[in-house]
Amino acid sequence: MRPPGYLVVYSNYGAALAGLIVQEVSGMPWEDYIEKNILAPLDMHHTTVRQPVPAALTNDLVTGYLYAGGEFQPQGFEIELKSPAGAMSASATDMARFMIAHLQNGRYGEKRILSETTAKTMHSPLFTNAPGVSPMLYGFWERTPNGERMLEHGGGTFSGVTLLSLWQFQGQILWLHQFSVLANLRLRLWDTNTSTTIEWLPMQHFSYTDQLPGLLHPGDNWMGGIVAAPVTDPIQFVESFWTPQALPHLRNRRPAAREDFPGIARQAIANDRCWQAQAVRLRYAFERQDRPWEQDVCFTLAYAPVNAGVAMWNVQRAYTCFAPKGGLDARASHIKAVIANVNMTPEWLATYSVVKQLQRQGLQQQMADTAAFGRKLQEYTAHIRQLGQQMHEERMKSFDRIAESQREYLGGVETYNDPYQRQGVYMPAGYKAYWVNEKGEVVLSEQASYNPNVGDVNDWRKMERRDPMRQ
Amino acid sequence: MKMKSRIVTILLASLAVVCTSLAGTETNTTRGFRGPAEMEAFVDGVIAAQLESLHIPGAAVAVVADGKVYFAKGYGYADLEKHRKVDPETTMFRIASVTKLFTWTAVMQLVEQGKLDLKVDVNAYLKAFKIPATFPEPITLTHLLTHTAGFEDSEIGEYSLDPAHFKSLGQVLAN
Repeated sequence: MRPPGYLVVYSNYGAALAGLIVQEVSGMPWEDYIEKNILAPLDMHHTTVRQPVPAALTNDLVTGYLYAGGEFQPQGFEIELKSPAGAMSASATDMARFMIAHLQNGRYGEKRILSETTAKTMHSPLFTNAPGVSPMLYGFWERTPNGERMLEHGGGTFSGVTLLSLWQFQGQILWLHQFSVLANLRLRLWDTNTSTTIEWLPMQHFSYTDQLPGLLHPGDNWMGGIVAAPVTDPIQFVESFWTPQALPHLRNRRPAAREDFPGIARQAIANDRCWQAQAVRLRYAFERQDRPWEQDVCFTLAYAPVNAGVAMWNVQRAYTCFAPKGGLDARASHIKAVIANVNMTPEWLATYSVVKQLQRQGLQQQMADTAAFGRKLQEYTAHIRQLGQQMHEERMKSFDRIAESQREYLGGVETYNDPYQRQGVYMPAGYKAYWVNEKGEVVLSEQASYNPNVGDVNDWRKMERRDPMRQ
Repeated sequence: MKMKSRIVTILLASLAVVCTSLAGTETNTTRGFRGPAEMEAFVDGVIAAQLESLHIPGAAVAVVADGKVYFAKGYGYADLEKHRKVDPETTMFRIASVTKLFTWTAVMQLVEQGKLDLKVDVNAYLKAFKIPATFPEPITLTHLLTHTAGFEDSEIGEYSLDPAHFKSLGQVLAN
């Protein structure tokens, strides 16, 4: 079971909660509401949300079978307790009527279940067309008979990632064609036990020239960079780029603390051949619903030299962590370990590079709508897998070098060999025993003699410490 | 678990085909098929093979195009013992999570009527209990609408074969 709160958002519970809200607001049971306002106008007479199915319809209901030992064994009627998430029984042509209504933007014959405007809104994956907002409303389309269901695939690419036990993972690609590719990658991780959450912030390339050609205006996308004057103060950057959308609850707040990371800045300068960089961590504090929270916003701002009158700059490695007050410092090494591992997820890097490739091919116009982008991404599925494999191998080769540079600024993180993946993983330092199973779940113990194989069906193997200086 | 996957397969047999065909018809109604008869021949082949190889007793297919049912047909049995055949018009399958689309449609109807706001804390609408504030952002209907694949809840307490377990929605969710 998961604790209530953030997690219910992504679950049957969430859908059922929406059903309960329908019930509360309409003043009638959810079942009555659906019958009166959807099933009746669509003439769906062989459909019911009642459980068990009403007597008049029982002869129309299929019997579920389990095929075992060469024969079909009839099974009972399964009751979905969270009914708005899965109670319905329906005939094929009744479902066709529902689809027709949606395909015709709410119209079914002379009747309507939604106005054209509402239906179009509902069918629009970029419901909130503002940058920085999490990619909402895709979930609807995953289950919808429409070209846009391809996006489910994009999300699915990431869903297999398992990190330190108890961390949940959500990764998606959002297509905001007016932004550069970095702004389109989303990643969120949270710890079910402590409400600690790590979220990658929209990253963005910028270009600026003081002699803007007539057609370009601030905010335009010019060669993959948004036209904007360099902001050299990190606090001001957060205020102007993230608090309007990605971090609205930090609006008008000053950070309580600031930490600079000259090591990361030096690395950015060396890697990207930029002339100036600053890497910072800003610590914010805020109250929400009578509870004190703290939030770190970490990022690197890098500025390239002016070339032909154009200044390029960007924000890199941007992520934020928040937790109830005191949680960030108490769990610092865990958070760092998670961040270090996720940065290196092969699927993530592979998908990113495909998106970059598509953008290089100048496909942004064709991909302006999300459905087309989803299809494009699916065309590239095999390619993504192959790239993932390649990157995985390259990662193994360069792992030590990367591990070293990561540790330089992360600290508190050690490298262990995962015997299943045959690769290194970062683990929070300070434990006596590190175990991993075939699913990639990890258990850490402060007792050296701890053995998770006792009383567990998973095959747990002990992870040995890897010396990064020696292959 | 095994039982569940079998039932799901039966449903997918009916629904997956509907969905796939739809995506095609959206751009070009008759691409690949010169009419319902030709589509029927194609679907017959696909379904027959699936029913046999996956040991599915019955399935139904419906394809819509241009606001009408273009093709619909039932295959196999709805109940093997009673020799009830699948009828695409009347045989009811458990559509499981596709139910959510009806819930979302209901939500959008109420948004249209101004009774719901997708951006408001859901606690404003809940009477019997409130969602505790575990995270800084309040939960809104926009969040609920974005149910994302891969994060299904624990199946414990999700299903029951005993009608006596059926509780009111408020009771189920308050836990």
